[in-house]
Amino acid sequence: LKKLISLNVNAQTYEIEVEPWERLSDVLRDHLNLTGTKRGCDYGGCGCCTVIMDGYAVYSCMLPAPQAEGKKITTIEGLNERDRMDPVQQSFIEHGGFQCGYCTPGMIMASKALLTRNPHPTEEEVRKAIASNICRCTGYKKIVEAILEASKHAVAKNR
Amino acid sequence: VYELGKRGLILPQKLIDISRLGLEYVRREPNGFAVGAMTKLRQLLEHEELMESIEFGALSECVKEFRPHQVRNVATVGGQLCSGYSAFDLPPVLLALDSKVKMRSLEAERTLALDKFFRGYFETALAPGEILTELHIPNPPKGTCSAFEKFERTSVDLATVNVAVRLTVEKGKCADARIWLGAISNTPFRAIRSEEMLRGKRIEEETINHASQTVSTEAKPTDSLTGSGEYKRHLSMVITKRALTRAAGKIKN
Repeated sequence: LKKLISLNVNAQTYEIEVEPWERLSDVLRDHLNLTGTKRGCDYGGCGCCTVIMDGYAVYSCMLPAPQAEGKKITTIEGLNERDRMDPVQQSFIEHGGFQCGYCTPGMIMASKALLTRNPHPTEEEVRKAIASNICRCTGYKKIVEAILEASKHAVAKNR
Repeated sequence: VYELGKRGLILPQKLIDISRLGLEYVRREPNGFAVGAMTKLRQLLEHEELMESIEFGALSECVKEFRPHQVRNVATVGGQLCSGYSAFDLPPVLLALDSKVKMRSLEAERTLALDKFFRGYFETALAPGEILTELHIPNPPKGTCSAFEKFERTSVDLATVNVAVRLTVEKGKCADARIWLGAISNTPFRAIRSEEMLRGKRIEEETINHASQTVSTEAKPTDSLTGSGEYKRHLSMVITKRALTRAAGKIKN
């Protein structure tokens, strides 16, 4: 019952055969080898698998891959331009916004989606945007600091 | 579907993608709003009248505070209803607003009041071969405002208990009221006796206290993973009081 679908991931088009119920997270990792997107809880509770679809953060583990057809998907691998890291990625490094790093791709994609639509979020808005991204190593303080700092850089860049 | 299938609760034989049927829309009509069943919760945010007027306050509070955002970005209005799951947030809200649903099969189309739609645990009035196509939210009468309250264990959890209330006030007195709670039992629960206590009265602190206490005696919540029935009974009083107080405050202002 395989179905041929065409996915636009990180500005590249892929033609792949998938079962209709295969989830985007599995397709990204197992078919396209884009393993930056993590599997955590695997049913929409932890946020590790967050990717951006048409500008909005979504859980890729809860999205049947065929429903992503015709949409623009961005994963963590698609953030850096050539070898330059995205300001959000850079800020996570500078602020130590992770320990083990497993939640990091999801955290960065969720905050990237926020900053794209709302370049100057308040701390509360930041916390709400990553409310459903769970970090089990430590707290969220440095992560929130990293995102707020990244938003300041975006201001500086726009000037 | 994937999750229920994996747990062996259902065995899907066919999976039909209905995301390209053109059911994503919010239309202003003379007598209310028509919302396509595949409209995403996030898309409701873009509709200023629904999000800013106090009549639809319950809906805007529910959608604005809806987390995870990752779910709000893909979850649909129809999905919140058709799953027939009583802990979701949208059913009590839409019930308090006296909404209707339109269902369609190959042969016929029918409209049903939403309070006739929820039948049991994961059970709705949808017949085999039928899909939900449209939701209708009527214009509330003049002097109406509504509010939504939810209690959850973490900021991204399903409700332990949730409630949507609507008050219509005429000449300083309550002409009509709706109180609908979720996560109480298999289907959304309407607190009819509490509504009755509000009708014809001035909406003051004392009236609100009485009505909220009545909720905790008429609602008979079942034990679940999120809390015991007794605990939820207490919560239902607390959140109903908060919701009524906020709705009443909006009318005064």
